[in-house]
Amino acid sequence: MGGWIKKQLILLIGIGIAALGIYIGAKSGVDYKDFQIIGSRNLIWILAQTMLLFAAFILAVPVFVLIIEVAGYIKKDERLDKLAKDFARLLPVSYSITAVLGGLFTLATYTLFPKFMNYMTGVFKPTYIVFVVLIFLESTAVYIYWTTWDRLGGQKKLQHIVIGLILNILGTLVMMTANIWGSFHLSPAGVDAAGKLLSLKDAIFNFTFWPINIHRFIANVSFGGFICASYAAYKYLSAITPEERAHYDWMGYTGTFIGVVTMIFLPFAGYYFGMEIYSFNAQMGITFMGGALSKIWLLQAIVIAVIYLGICYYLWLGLDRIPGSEKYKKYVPYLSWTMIFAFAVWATPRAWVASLEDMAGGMHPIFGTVGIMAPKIAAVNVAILGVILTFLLNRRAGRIIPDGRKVYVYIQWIIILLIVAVNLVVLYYSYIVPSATRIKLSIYTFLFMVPAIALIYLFDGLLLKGAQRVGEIRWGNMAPRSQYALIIVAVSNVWAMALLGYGRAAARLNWHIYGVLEDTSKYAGLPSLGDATLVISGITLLFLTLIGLVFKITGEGGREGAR
Amino acid sequence: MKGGTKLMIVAVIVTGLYAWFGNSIPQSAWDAPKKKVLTPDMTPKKLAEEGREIFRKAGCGVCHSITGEKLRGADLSRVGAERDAETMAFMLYSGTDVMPAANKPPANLNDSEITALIAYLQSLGGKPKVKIGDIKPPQGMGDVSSAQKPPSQKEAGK
Amino acid sequence: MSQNKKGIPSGVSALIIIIGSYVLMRYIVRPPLPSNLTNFFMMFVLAGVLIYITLDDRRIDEFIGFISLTSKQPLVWDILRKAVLVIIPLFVAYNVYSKEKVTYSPPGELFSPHVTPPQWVVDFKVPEWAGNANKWDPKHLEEGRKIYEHNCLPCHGKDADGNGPVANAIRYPAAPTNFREPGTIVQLPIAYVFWRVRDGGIFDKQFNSAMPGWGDELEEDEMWKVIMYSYYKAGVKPRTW
Repeated sequence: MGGWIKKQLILLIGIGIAALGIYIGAKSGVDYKDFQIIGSRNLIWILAQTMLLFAAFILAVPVFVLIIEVAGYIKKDERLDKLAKDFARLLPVSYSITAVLGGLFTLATYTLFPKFMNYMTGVFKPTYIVFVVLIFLESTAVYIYWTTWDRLGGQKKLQHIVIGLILNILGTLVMMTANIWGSFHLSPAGVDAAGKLLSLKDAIFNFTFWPINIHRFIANVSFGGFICASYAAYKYLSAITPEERAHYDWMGYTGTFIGVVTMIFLPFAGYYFGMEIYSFNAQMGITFMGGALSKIWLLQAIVIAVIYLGICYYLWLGLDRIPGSEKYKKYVPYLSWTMIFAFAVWATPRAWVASLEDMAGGMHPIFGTVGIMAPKIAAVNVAILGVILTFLLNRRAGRIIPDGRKVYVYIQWIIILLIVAVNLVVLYYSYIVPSATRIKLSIYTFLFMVPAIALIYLFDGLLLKGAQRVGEIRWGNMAPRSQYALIIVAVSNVWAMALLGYGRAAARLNWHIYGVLEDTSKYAGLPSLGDATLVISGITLLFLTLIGLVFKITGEGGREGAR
Repeated sequence: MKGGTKLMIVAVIVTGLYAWFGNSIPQSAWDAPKKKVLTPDMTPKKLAEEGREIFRKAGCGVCHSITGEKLRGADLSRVGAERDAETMAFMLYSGTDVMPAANKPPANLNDSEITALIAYLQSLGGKPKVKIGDIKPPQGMGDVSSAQKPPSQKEAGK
Repeated sequence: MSQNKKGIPSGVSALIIIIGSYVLMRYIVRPPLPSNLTNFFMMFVLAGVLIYITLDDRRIDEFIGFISLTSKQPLVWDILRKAVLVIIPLFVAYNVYSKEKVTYSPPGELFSPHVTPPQWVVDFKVPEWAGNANKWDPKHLEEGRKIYEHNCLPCHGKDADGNGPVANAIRYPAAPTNFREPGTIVQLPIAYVFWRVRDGGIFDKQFNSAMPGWGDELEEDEMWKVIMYSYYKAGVKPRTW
């Protein structure tokens, strides 16, 4: 019990700071205050994004831990259970940091933007109370989950998994409560033109509420996987004994696996989010996709390309440690060039005017033909397929396929060719049919792709069920460059989250709450993309330093406990 | 520890590359649309010129012509001679079944802008007469209740 | 595949890919890709080469041996790699030179092809006779043609391909729109096109085009007719939101 109170103390401090902020805001009487040197907008930006990254982390780790724990329970694999526990160890400290950051963020916003935040209090006071109750429950669940890990082992493991499930449900509810406010800024509902609250229910379930929930949830799990993988990479690089290396190599692979499997569904969630923005307000949709913020997508394409290629690169190199993979490895260069080409198409800017010498102005046919949405969607689908093929290669390499199962391979090929064919046909039609039909076509393509991908995995499972290996996987025999690839992937992942977080907030332009509460401070506009990327890079480094600190604190604690 | 430093170097290089790329493409900041500063010492004539701009930007011309032609809304070519400032103000602030009020979205004008707009309307078939401060919003319809300010910050009666 | 001693060394194939794709983009594709777009694509090519080389330990060793002049190579490749060692500094020097050189051309610029429209455009109710391509009246199209040829043809061209008699004079920063291009009017809502015709191009930093606003020159009906004609001439149909 004493431990529990100690753990709650920092949470209480965080809430205390937040409450102080709300009090200062209510008493403030001015519209805006400025913050010295870096400006109030940048301060809020940095605090909010760092806090959100931590929040993503503490949401992701329990999901991730639970997945591994359940996998370990089903497969009766002690190793998985140990890995899950290693990660659960990070939770208490991360919670504390998030609580403090959350408190500081609330304090800063209420002090510097009192008009805006007081309005939010007026509309959402009930949800604030719900939020506080939920985080108390959640942090209690974390405490119970962590302290009962060993006590509820063996026969009682199922009980422990149930606690983990409850923890995850609470965590998701906390995220959803926080998403109410963020999505309301973007697409307010339930208020009249003057901003008076008509229906709290409408305000909560606004247009972008569910898309943000889904998008964030998937992204968070994927993010957790990559952070885990990069931690393993770091440990791998500084490991001394072969056993350690083997363990961290395997851990990096597991983290990457979870990260990628979830990441494949992210584009679909993103399109859903985009669609809801368009149906909320076409003007905002255009701002986001083609107007003032269109350059974000140029950067996003580069970052996502780095992430996908980095993962695939890691997996391609990983073939080296699988005996019997030689006959598959010769296909890898073709795969890599196909993916490079797909990403080049995806990143082709529509909005890049050439200099005068180039004569073409905005009119070069490549901008018009490749720069628009249809070929990009096809390219992303091809890239996703490339990731899936890489995975299949990794699974199949070094396995002896039993007789009579060859048919599954043919079925997989048929599905893959079908996906390619559907994408090509849709691409061809996209140029000749009206836009409304085109958008529908792309939705049908996604609806076709998701089950098709699932089927590929299903047949792969059937194909490899109980298949023998040529030899054991030589864990721990990875070139260091593959581990650096994992680290780059994790850094890019954080950067991408910060970039798109900025994009979502910036889509409001000069509004605090789009169309309801206008930003009349001197920070109402948007910074140039260059300035924004500098802040984003700073946030990324800050977050990585803090998370490194968490790993360091808990890592040492764990070692002492082992002694 | 050495591993940690290496890690940080990788992170700095990667984030640095992204920031470099972000800075290497041509830059443009997006500025919030400037609200014209309209002051009480502006002459009605000057105000009417600003009002013309507001008339164009706010989308009045989508329904109203100023050339005598009949569009969806009333023709305003002689409105300055036909209506006094108070009537115009009432119409603008309250709107009608088919015309959205000028102080609410989509036009979303504030009190001074509406005054300038009235000056412009007076100049159509007449002479602009109003200055900033002459036009009082009808009871409870001023820009304090519009989208510009949250309800808690009402300064009605000012 | 590269362990085959008789094959081309991976260093050479890397060079061929890099130089080849640059030449392809700048000198073979017509019209040539703009230089900054070429550089952009070259990043992908370089990344691809880097991935290709580092996929295999043997290939890395071979590559390093090749460029550090430590491996033994046939004469042709030997000359080539030494030449490259000279070319790289020259290339860098040329780049520095062309960056520092004073030019009179304005710098490259990002522009948003589709500027965010004001709210009234989004809410705009398009007249039925103009918004629906199936209900277009040939009489209206004929009137549209006259207006188009009087006002728009000089820039946007007789065939709505953005290549009118004076188009080259105003190609910067954005040349007159080619309505036949799939990224232009065909993917824009017709109300958006109406807005651009009415208010023109130059209104803020987002879009510096030379398109004049026609709101003062043309009646609303006339603008709709000319828009209908542009779609008709470009062979595409408008969409609504």
